[in-house]
Amino acid sequence: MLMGVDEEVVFSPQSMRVYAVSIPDDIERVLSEPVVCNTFDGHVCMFGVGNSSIAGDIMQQYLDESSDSYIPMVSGDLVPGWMGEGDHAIILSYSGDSAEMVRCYRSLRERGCIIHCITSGGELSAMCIEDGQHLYKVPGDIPSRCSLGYMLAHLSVIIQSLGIVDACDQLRDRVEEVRSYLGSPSLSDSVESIACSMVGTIPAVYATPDMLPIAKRWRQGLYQMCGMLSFYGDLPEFDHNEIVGWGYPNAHSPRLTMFALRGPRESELINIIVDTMADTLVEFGRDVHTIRLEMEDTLVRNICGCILGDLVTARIKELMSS
Amino acid sequence: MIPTSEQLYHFVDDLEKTLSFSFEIEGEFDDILLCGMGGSAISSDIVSDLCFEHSRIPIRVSKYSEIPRWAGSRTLVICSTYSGNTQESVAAYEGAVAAGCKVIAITAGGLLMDLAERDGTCIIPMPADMHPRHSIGYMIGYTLAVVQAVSGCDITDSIRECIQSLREYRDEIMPKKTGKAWRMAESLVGRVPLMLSDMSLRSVAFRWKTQFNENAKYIAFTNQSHEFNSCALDVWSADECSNGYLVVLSGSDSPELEDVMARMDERGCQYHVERFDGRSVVENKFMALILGDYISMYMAEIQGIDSGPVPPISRLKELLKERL
Repeated sequence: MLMGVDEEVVFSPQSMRVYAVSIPDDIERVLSEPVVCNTFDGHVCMFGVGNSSIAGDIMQQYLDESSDSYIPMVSGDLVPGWMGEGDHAIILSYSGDSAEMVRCYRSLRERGCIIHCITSGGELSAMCIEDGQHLYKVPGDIPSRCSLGYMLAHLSVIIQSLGIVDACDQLRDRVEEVRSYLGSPSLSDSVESIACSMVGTIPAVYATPDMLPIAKRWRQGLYQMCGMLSFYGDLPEFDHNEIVGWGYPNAHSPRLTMFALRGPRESELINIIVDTMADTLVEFGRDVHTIRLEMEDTLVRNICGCILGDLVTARIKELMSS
Repeated sequence: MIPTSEQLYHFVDDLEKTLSFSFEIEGEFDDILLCGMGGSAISSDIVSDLCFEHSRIPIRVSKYSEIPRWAGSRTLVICSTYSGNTQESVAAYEGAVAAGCKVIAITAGGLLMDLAERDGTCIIPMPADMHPRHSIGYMIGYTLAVVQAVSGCDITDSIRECIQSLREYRDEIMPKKTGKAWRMAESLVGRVPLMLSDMSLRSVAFRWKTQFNENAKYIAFTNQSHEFNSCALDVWSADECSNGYLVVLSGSDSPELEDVMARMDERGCQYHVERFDGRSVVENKFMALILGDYISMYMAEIQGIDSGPVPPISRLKELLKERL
């Protein structure tokens, strides 16, 4: 039932919580083997859409802070012109049947790229085996959005094996910090408070680039778990255009409510800009709900932020049905 | 300040003027980083999309104050800010210089101009008295000229070939009351627009959103077709969301978009599809851009408001002046 129907899977808040808190275990399961490191000088590019793209988005943010090479994440089926023979492409697709990713695989194969597929099966898996490309299997019996830990861990193995950065070691070292967050006594209060503030609204979740994957994940969860219309966007870009729409009464959109994810990586400049944005919106009659994620490390912050979002959406679903 | 209607009308002329601008630069680069915010960043989005399948080196758009760690001496950075005073862009410029990147500044003045002059950075000056968001014709042309000089892709001929068609398209859609732009504006007023596109029109869909924000003073959003899955369709089909207005921007054969529309039809989901049938992907992009700009201006006119001023941004800048 769960295979190949990524976007249509409906699951209960209870099972969603179980999946969310098992992310550290999922990561450790993949990272139990040592990684053989090589060196590679060419281009590397990640591809993915939908739920499967979140792991790539998180990895890109981490690599922006830690890598000497630009490793982009492409959300779509078009292949950049600079990807050519011998370059490494990493495709993330839980079902392995995403039409965009299948098309992307074929384009990359035509160009002579070395392809790594992280998938549970489907057409991608079959093509990968037939072509002698690299296949990284994730369990096929879970909903696609619950494969984040597996996807991220496999991705870190590939990145480290290409000699880009020690992503795998870094991720392994941070699993305990994620577990510690899950065990923190204030977590359930945060979940309750955020869930209550979102019920009855059309949430728009905004974040700075280092936390944008979390905003995207929250928006996906609100759609998929709660059937709630929701949006996401980036700060401080918001201040240069969107703030105008939000600053006008727009009687047709009273339920739209802004939730700003904020973290310790904000520079002093960004801190002041985002504070000022919130003050300006309040002056123009719009409230801003701020959600703070204080983990210093980008990987930890993004993983914990995604888990928090999953727990919040599970709780919203309960609140909506009670 | 030149009136909005005049600036929109001359977009094609502005773009055409820049086609004769050629740029030469010494050195080899591994990647290109385009830094900017808001109206100045839209040109970067569009250039990045135009070159996506043709450039032999990666191009990244950054709408932030910090530059990524990988940016260094083999990175070409273009910092664009029309006013020259956008704090995030100025900070990105300083970061790029400190990282040893080769930097080009595109600006009409302000602090960026001063810093670039001090540092001996190459400056491409913008004409004065425009709304930053409407200087896009120049910004696209100048950014493209620099990108082309180092990336090996050449879009100039494709643009030149469609200039006349773009003028004709503008004249066709712009008449008030009877033209397509006005009619679409009427249907969008009082709704929350969501632009849905495939990857080929994602930057233009974003332009529509920001123009609806600034000119029409409307909240608006974008999605790519792959983000608009079955769950999203269910949500949009629901009654409580009937105030949303889906606009599908279709610029090429896109099986995903066609699939999404077929599923929307099955669910009885209301949407408007705008198909662009230009002779090339490039032409479709610019046709879509022109249409969105005019719709946003007419949405303001229908509401009886001036599309030019942006009070929340002005207030934000006032407050930032005190705090920074």
